[in-house]
Amino acid sequence: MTEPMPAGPLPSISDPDFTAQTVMDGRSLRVGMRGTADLNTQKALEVFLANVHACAIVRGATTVVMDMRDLEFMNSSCLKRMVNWIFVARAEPTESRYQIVLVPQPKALWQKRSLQALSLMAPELVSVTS
Amino acid sequence: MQSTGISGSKIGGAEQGLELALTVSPRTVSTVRRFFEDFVAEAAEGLGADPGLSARVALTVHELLENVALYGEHHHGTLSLSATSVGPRRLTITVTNTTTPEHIERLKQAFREGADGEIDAMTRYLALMCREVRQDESGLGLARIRAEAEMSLSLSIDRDQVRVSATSKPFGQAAGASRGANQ
Repeated sequence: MTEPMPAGPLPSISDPDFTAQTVMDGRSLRVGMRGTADLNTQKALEVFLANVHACAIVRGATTVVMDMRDLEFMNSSCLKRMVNWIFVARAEPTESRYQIVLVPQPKALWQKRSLQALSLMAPELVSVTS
Repeated sequence: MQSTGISGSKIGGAEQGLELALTVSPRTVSTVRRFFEDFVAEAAEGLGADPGLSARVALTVHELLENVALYGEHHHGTLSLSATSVGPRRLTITVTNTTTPEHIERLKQAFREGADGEIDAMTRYLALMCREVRQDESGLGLARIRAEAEMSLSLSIDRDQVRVSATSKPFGQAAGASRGANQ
């Protein structure tokens, strides 16, 4: 039997224009994004999302809540990283699969369509709160 | 960002436009995006536009300007915003820069893919989101402008110079049309 991976520190990003922090809340992994995710942060975001996935699996999270209320903007390259993460999550066996909840900022009008598009990548897995 | 020239006038005025010649790094694209978003938000009410127009312009400016930062020669290009002065009001954002033959080919390919009228913009965008791509690029920017910002796109090429224009759906009526209608 495979030994569980050590839990390790919770993933984060700290960039002058973009930060992402993670906290465990019961069986939910809560991710807060702030600032602008663009060319400057796309590689860091890719690593971050891989770590979020690993963290969710190791800690047995049933939900990952992605709070985007402080996210000013996300470019298409970073959206593509989000899609890749959703596909990785979807590929997990049913028993370890977690739900993804996207929390939008209603005043950020770009988020309405972008997050809708993300949710359509895996409707059975991804939801957007109203 | 080293701005080498700015010209223009209030949108809705006689000259109907704003143009910036600039050298832009990835770090400063957001500064320009915010400027255009604020500029259009200020003008939106006078233009008879919906409040979402500034967000659509901001998204378009960001995606187009990142191409200049990544592929433009010396990261330099010209970014303009113009409004039609007659008839149904539209905004057009145009980015002009010189670039490599390889990038010109990629642009041509993206426009060929986007020109298929059989598939609507959102369906194509969702399909591209699912596509495997090279790690450093998403290939999504232009499709996102069509689908999310609801802009139509055009491309013109003159040797190593490319010009990409994004035009909004019509909203309101320009002053010229109103005068014409009253005559």
